[in-house]
Amino acid sequence: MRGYWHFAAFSVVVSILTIYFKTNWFIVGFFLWLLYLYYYRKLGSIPIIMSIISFLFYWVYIPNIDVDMPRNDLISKETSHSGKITSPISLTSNKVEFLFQERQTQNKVSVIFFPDEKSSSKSFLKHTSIKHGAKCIVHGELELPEQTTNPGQFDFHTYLLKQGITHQIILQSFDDIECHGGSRLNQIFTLRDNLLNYVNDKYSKKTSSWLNALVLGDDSFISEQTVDLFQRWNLSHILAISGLHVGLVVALLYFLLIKLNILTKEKAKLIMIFFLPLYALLAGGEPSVWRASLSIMIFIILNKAKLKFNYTDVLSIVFLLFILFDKYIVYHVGFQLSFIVTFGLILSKNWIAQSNSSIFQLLQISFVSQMMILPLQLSYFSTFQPLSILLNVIVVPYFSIFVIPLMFIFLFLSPFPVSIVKFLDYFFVHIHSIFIHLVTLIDKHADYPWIIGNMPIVATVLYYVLFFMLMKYLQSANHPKAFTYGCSISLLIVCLAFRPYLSPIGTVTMLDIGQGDAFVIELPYRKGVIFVDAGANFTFNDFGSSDKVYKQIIKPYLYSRGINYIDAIFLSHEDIDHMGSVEYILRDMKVKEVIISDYYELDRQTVKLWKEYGTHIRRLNDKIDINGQVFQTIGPTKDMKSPNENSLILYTKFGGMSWLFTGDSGKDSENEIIDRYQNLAIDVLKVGHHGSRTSTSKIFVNQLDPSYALISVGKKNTYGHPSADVLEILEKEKVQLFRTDLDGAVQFRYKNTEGTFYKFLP
Amino acid sequence: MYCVWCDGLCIPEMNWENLWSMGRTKTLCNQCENALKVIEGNRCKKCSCQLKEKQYICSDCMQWEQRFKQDPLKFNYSIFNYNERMQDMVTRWKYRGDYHLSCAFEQIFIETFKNTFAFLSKKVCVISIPLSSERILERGFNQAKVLADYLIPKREEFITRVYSEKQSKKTRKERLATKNPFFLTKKVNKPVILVDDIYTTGRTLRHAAELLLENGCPAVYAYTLIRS
Repeated sequence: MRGYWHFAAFSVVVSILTIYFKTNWFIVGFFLWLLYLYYYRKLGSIPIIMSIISFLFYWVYIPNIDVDMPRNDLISKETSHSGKITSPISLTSNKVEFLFQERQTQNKVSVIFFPDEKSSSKSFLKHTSIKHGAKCIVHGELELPEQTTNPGQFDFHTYLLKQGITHQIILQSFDDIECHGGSRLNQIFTLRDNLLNYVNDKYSKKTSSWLNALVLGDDSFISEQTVDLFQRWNLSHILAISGLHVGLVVALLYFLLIKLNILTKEKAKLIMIFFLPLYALLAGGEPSVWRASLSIMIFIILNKAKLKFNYTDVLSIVFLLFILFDKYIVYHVGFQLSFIVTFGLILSKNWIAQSNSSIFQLLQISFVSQMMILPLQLSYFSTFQPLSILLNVIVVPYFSIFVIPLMFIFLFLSPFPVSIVKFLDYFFVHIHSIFIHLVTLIDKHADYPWIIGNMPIVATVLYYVLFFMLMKYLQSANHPKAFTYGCSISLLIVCLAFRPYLSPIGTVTMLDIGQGDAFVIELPYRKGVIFVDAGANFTFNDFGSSDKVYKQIIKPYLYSRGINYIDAIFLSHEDIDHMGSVEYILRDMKVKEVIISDYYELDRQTVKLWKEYGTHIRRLNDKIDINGQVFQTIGPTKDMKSPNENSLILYTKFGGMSWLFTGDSGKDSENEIIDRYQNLAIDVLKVGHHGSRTSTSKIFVNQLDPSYALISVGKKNTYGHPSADVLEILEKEKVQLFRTDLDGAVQFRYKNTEGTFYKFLP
Repeated sequence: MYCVWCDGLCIPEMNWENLWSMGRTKTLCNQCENALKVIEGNRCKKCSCQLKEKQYICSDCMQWEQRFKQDPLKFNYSIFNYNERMQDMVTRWKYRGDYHLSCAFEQIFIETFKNTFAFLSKKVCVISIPLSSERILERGFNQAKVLADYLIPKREEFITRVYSEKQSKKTRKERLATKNPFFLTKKVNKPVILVDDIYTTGRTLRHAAELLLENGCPAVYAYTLIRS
């Protein structure tokens, strides 16, 4: 079996893929491959038997998220739960969070407490003595985490399910939880917290934030901007403690122990075996830390036992152990990325060893790492930054040669006199801010992400086949063939990016942004992307718009559809729930024009700001043709003296149906319309003003005679929208109704003159 | 799989090339494989011996050029340097009759052949340097024949050899002065690749090459495992 452990690991990957994608083709492919190897005497029977056993075992063992999906009606109404805390306590200024396992049902529950002015999170910790491993009684109702209601949106519910967490409890006060006891591990977690605080006290804010991230695995002190920047450029792996960091700390410690004659080599190795798991816990216990620590431990042990194993064996064994220990880990993004990259790098050992320039080797490492994860990158983030391969070549050595060792040295030096610490601190902050500034500058001028959207599974398989061929020929230095495969991969990605331009299907999507409107229209063959309204939530302190809707709903939707260029945004009127997200869209994407009515009040500042973002503002009072899609304005016809009544009313046709977008217009405008256009009849009505009783009069509905009505309205909103009167009118007219509060996002997909509505929620 | 040289366990190292097909079956463990030195960098274009940078052919080959108007060998290509481990292996293989050790060289011998002689069209024949019948009885097998049999096109027999003193027991001078021990059995009108285990002075190979050229063969190349 030695040298063949990766077959067991592959068989587990096959079982994961089979469960996740619900297709048996992976099994067929894998076993055909084994058969081929067996037939040509490349593989003995032991690895094959092991593969079959591990495949079957893990196939049964790995949880299927869909089956685990708990149902609302099955939740027990019990309000008192006893059990044990099974995770370290995550403590931030606006949230306390930990995992709790009920004793009876064995359900894993996420317990959350939102501190307020009276009870800060620190005092919460003091009062309740919650600790890892403590036995507790929690009072509160079990809830299901909120479900996503929009395509492309981050699915918190599934995210929790993927960790085996089925429910959550939100604590109302300190008194809702009583705990006693704690586990041994808790001492390590407390030590970690103390170390984090100690570092924060000892060093300046900048230095401590990096020290805590790179040594102790807590990047919450690093500014959101920098974290975003690192994510955008695929540099996040530096912030996650992995082989690089663990290798450095082991080398540093080993070197010190040996060179200072503290221990013999044998004893130093023994110490390492005990130190590594301790460090893994101290560094936050993410999969990448454990992967690196366990691998090094196994290597030391094998070395001691004088057993020969190869790298793929050790990685495969660690992989199998990981899943055995926590079956939900297979859904952990960090786990997936960490193992895939490491596997790719191990395979590339020979190829990398062939070149003698270290810069070229860095480029090779960066290339393999980024290319190995490209399909995952696309499915999790919809976007890929090709230039990040180059940037990694600069950033990785800077961190591995300079920053990370320095951070460990800082931690060791921290007990020394203040002046030394201060000087080092000053020195580091200066160099590092120059470096971050440099990266920011690159970001500003060379930020050309590929927004491709999700990769279909067939394309993913094809991608990996092509990539393996490319690497094979690169390794054997068969450059013409390698070039062919390199081109094929590029072609595949280009085809993916061009997918929407070849599709005859157009969509109109009513996003569920809560109380507010946001419609995204994607014309067939991606001839154009058009918004009708782009609302936002209010912020509570100044009633301005918050970027929450944009960041959590609009942007993920656009990215998942591979959109980063918008032809036009119609804004019905100047309320935040209809135009609040425009500013953020303009900031991130190219928008050709913003189209508003004659009576839309626009202050100079906004005009200036929007123009700076490179858009054109157009006032519209007749019709406009946007890449073949004609929009006819049928209102406002005159100044109605109120923003709502002045809403831009648009008439257009999709999929053989005529649509009316009404903004927030009320009964006055409606009367205006039926007077003016007496023969107007439509198929789809966007119900005015979120279904308020001030809009949608009986005659209006009667005359227009729509078959479908769309209401964009927030769940449990304070305005009481939609009103019972409006619902009644629509029901009487036998109009089929779609509501974002009940149906989530609603999408109309059409091809030529046929179209169907799809609700996001079942 | 166990190493044919040291009997230790052979563990395959996975890389991009052997991941899908599992590559060739390993016959030597990593340590033993690394103990053999493949000739790398600049080599004599004539005889494959290791040369310093920028030299084109070695002094030995210059002498050969002077000796013949036209060197009967176009060139010789060898794979390994003759280091201590290789000497040990050859001793066990050739003189003590460990026939099985041949498989340690099989894959690399085939692959290098493909890469080196790809320029020759398919109309070429492979001939191994024969042993005299006395020597065959003594050794049990002809190591050159074993190597040649790995190759495609199939080995053909055109020459035989009369008994003479072992080349390895002679001094350089004696070796260079030996008479041609080969006889032609059939006529050849195609280019020939001569296969042998070791190229030392090149005398033996050139004897065979001379004989072939005199009898109508258009060109003679040599392919040997080791350049000593």
